[in-house]
Amino acid sequence: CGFKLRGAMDIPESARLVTLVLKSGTSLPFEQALKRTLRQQDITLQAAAPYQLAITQVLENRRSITLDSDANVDEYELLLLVKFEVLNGKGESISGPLVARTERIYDYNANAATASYSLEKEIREEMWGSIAERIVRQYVAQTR
Amino acid sequence: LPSDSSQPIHISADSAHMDENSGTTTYNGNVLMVQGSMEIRATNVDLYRTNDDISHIIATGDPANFRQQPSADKPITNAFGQQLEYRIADKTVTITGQARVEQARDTFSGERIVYQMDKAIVNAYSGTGSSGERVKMIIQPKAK
Amino acid sequence: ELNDWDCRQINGSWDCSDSSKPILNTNKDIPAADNIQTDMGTDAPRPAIEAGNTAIKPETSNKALPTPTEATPNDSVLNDSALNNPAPKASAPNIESNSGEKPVAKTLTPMKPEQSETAATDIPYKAILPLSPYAHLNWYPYPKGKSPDHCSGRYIEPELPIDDGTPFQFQPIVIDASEARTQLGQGTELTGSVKVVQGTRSLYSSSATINQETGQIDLKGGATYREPGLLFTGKTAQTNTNSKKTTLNDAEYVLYEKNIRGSVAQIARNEDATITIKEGTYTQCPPDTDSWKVFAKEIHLDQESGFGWAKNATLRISNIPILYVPYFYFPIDDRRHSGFLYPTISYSDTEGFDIGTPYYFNIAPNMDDTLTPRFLEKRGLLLENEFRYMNSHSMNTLSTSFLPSDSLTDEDRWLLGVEHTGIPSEHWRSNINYLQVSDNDYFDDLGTKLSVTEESHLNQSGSLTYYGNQWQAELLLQSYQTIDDNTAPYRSLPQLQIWGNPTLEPDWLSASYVVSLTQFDRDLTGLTDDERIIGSRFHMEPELTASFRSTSGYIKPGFKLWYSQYQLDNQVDDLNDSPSISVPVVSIDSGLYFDREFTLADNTYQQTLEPRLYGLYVPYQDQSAIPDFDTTEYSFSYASLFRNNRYSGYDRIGDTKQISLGVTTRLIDLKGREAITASIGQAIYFGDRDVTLDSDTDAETSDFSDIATSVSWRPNTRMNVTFNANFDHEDTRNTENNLAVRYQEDINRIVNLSYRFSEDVRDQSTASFIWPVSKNWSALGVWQYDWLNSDNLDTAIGIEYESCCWKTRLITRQWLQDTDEQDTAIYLQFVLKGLGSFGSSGGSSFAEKITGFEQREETNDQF
Repeated sequence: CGFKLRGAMDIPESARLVTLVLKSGTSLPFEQALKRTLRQQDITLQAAAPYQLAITQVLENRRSITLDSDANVDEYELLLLVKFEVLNGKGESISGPLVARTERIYDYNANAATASYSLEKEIREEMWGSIAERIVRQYVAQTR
Repeated sequence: LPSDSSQPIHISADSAHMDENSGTTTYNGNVLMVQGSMEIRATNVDLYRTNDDISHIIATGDPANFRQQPSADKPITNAFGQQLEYRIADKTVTITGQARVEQARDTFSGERIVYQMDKAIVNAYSGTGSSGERVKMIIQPKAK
Repeated sequence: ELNDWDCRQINGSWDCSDSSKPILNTNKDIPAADNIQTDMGTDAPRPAIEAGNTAIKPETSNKALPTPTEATPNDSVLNDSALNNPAPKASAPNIESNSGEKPVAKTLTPMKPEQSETAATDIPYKAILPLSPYAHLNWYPYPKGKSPDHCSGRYIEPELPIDDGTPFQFQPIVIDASEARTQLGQGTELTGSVKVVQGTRSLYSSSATINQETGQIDLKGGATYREPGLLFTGKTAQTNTNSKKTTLNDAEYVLYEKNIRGSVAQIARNEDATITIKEGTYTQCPPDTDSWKVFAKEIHLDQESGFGWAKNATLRISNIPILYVPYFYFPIDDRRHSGFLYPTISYSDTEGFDIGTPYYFNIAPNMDDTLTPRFLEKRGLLLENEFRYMNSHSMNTLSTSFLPSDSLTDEDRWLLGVEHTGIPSEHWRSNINYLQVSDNDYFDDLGTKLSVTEESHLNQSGSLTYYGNQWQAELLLQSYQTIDDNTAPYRSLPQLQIWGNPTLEPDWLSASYVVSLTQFDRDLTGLTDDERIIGSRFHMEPELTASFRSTSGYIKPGFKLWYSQYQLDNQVDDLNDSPSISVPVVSIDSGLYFDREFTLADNTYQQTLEPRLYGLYVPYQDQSAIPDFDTTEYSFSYASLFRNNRYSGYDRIGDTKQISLGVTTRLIDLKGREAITASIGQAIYFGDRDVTLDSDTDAETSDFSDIATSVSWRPNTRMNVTFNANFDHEDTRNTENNLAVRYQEDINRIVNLSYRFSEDVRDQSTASFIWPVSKNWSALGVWQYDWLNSDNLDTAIGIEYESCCWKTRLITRQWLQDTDEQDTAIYLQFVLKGLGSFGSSGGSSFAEKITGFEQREETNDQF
C-alpha cells in the first residue's frame, strides 16, 4: 500500500544549527524539554545560527472539565499553548506567528490530593515533551 | 539712517545718458548708487525727475540690490529683487520679481515687498491667483 | 472672500500650503468675516461646551504592575554553552500574574521589527479622502460595510515634517502667508491663510502676529495647532517660539493614537508635553457617535506616564449625566497600569447585593496596593486587600481579607494569601503559593473566583529549586487546608528531590535518576487504620537506557532500579513498620517509521505508519506493607500502555510481564502540522498483576488489556477535534469515550463541545460558545450537564453589545454550588473602552469555560 521504511530524515543541513530565543521568565521545564527534543533530532544550539527559534509566549492553565455531584472537581484539564516563530539568521521572521497547543485530562481525587498533585506533575512533564516535539516538527518543516 | 534722505546721491555706472524731454537719466552696467548709508546696486537704474528734483528711481538687475541701515542701533536691511522702485518722497522701496528682504537673520520673500525706510517697516504681499508666489518669512531662532 | 488651501497629496495624506482647490465642507453656519475653509481646520464651529462630542479614553483600567524594565524579546539567547548551564540569565521577570480578575500584564514585545503600518497606508495611494463632516478633525468614514472593526471611520493624520531631533528652540520658524507686515525689532503681522512651522509643530490661522523679541505668536480667526500625534483646532491660539507652550481657546482636540478627542474652553500643550484642559470633555468615541464622554472643570493628560486626571468630572452616557466624581484618575493608553478601578456590582439570591469599590494605590513603579471594601447585603463589610511588590528577581503578592463578625454566621471571616515567584540567582528558583481561610465555606459564601470554590484543598506550598548542569534539586514544603469534608491529604514536610540526566560517553547510552526523601504527616482526626499511617520515605530510581535510533526506527532497551525505604508510624499492627523494596524494571521500547505520500482533498500530506512494540518486565514484590502517600493509578489510555509503571507517585511499582502493541498513523501537512493523528493499541499480559493500591482490590488476571484508541483531527488552524475511546478486551464493549471539539475563528467566534463518558463513572457534556449575532451583538453561553446524575451543573446565557467605544455584557448564570444546591446570578458589565469597566464580568473562570484560558482577548480585555 505504498508505505516504505523512512529513508534519511530530511532535515536540511542549515537547520541542524539553531539559536533558541526565550524571554526571561519562560518556564524552565519547557526550556529543558525543548532542548532535549532538539538534541534528539541532532539539532544543536548555537549562538549565531542560520535559524532562530523564538518562543514568544507560553500560556499554561488548569481548569476543571468535569464536576462530581457535589460540584467539586472530578477531572482537571491541563492546557498548554506556546506561541513561537522561526526566524532567519538576521532575526527576520520566515514563518510568521505559529502556535502549538496541547491538552491532557486527568482524574482528580479529593481524598488523595497528594497523589493527584504528583500525578499532575508527571502529566505536565509529559505535556512539555509532547509540545516540544510539535514545535520542533514545525520548525523543521519551516526550514525545509 | 534717518539722515540719509538729506545726503547727496552719488552714482557710478559703466554708461549713462540723459533724455532731455522726459528728464530721466538712465545708467547701466554695474550701477552703484549711494546716498548716506543707503546703497543700490543694479545692472540698470532709471532716475526720474520732476521739476529738477529726483522723484523716483527704478533699478533692475538680476537681482538688483538695495541696502540701508534704518538707524544706528538697527541691523542693516538688505533687499533683492528683479526690480526696485525707490520713491524718494514716500521714502519707500517697492521690490518685485522674486522679491527678498533680509533683516538681521530673518528673511522675507514674496511677489511684492514694500519697504518703508523711515520706520523700517517691511510689507510683503503674495501674488493674486493661484500662480502668484506666497509670502514666505523665515525667523531664525534667538537661541539663548 | 474665501481663501483656501491647496492640498497636495503624498501617499494618502495631505500636506496643505495655500490657494484654491476648495475641499467640500458641509459646515453650514459659516460665520461672517473671512472664513478659512480648509481640510485642515474649519472655522471651528462655536464648540458649545455642552454639545461637543469628546472622548476620554484610558485603554482598560485594570490593574497590573508596570514592568520596571522592559523585557527585551531575546534577552536570553542560548547557545551551545548554555547546554550545560540551562538557567537563563536572571533578569526582571515580566509580571505574569494570571490570578483571577486582574489580567496578566503582557507587554508582548514583538519578536520581529514592527512593520510600521500607519493608518494612512490602508487607503490606496491616489484615492481622494472620502467626504466627511469631521474632516476638520481628520476623521474619515470607512466605505460602506468595509469597516475592519466596530468603528464607522478612523483618523488619518496628515504628513508632518520629520523630526530631525534638533532641540525645539534651535529650529527656524518658517512662515507662509498672503501678506506680511513687519516692523523691525517690533513684530510681524500676517494675514491670509497663515502657516507657521517650527520643527515638527505647525500652526494655521487666518491671521497672526509674531513678536520677534519675545517670540510671542498670537493666532486669530480660526487657529489650528498640530504636532505629531495631536491636533488642536479652535478660535484663537497663543504660543511662543522659545517655548513649546501653546494654548488654544474654544477648541476641539484629537490625540490620534488613542482616538481621544474632546471640545474645550481652553486647551494648553505644556512645556513638559502634558496637556491641560479647562472646562472640556474627553471621550474615545468617534466624532459621529456620542455614547459616552467625561465633562470636567479641569482635565490633565500626561502621555508620557499614560495617565490622566480630571477634577469635578461628570460621566455622561449618550449625554445623560450619570456619575459625578470630584477627582478622577485614569490611564489613557494601553500600557498595563493602574487606574481607578470601577465598582463591581452583582446580585445573587443567596448573597443579595455585593458591591465592591476598589481603590488603587500606585505606591511605586514596582509596588501597588488595591483595597476593595465590599458591601455584602446579608453579611456586612468585607475588606479585601492585595499588595504587590516586584523587583528585578522576584514578584510577590500578599492578599488579605477580613470580615468582622459576619451577620449570617457571626464569626470573623478572613483570608490570607501569599504568592511569590523568584529568581534569587542564576541557578536558583524560589516559589511560594500559600492560601488560608478562616472556615470551610469562605469561598462558597464570599469568593468571587468561581474556580476556587470547586477545590476541596487549598494549596499551601513553598519550594526552592536549584538548576545545575544536567541535574536539579528541589526542597519542597507542601501542605493543604481542607475546606470540604474530604480526607485530609498527606503533607510533605519537607520533601527533598534530586533528579538529573547526565550525558554518558557513548552517546547511544543515557542515564537518568531520581532521588527523593520525604517526611509525610497528616491531620489524623477522624481517620482509621491504614489512613493513619505517617512516616518518612526514601526513594531512588536510577535508570539506564540505550537508544539505537536510525531514521527508519528505534530500539530502546532500558533498565531501572526501583528502590524505596520507609520509616512508618501508626503502621497497621502485623505489618513491618520499616518496609523496603527493591525491584528491577526491565523495558524495551521499539518502533519503526513507514512513510508514504498521501493526497486527501487535493492537498498532499506525508502519511506515517508507526508500529510500536513495548516489552515490560517487573517482577512481583509484596508491597502491602507500604502505605499510599502520593500514589494513584493512571487511567487507562493509549499513553498508559507504554508507561513503565501503571501507578503515578513513588509508593507502588506495578508488577507486570507484558508486551504492548500499538500503531500510530499521522497525516503531516507541508507546514509540519499534524492534520490527523490516530492510534490504536493493546497490551498482552503473560501473568497476573498482583500489586494493588490497597488490600481490598483484587489482582488483575486478564490476559489482554482493553483496546485503547485515540484520534485527533486538525483540518485547519481553526478546528480541533480529539476523540479517544476504550473497548473492553472481552466483548469490545465501549467502556470509555471522550470527545472534544473546538472551533475558534477569532476571539469573538468560538464553539466548544466536550463529552466525557466512562462506564458508570461519569457521563458529562459541556458545550460553550461565543458567536456574533450581528455587527455589534454577540451571544455567549455555557451548558454543562451531568447525564449520570441528570444534574444541570452550569448553565449560562449572555449577550454582548460592542460598539466603537463601549461594550456591555449581560450574563445570567445558574450553577451547582454544592450537593443539589443551585445558585443563580446576574452579571452586568459596562466597558467604556479606554475608561475601564463597571460591574463584574462573571469571573475569569467563566471565560475559562469558553477559551480554556482566563483571558479572552489578546488585548487582555476582561471577559
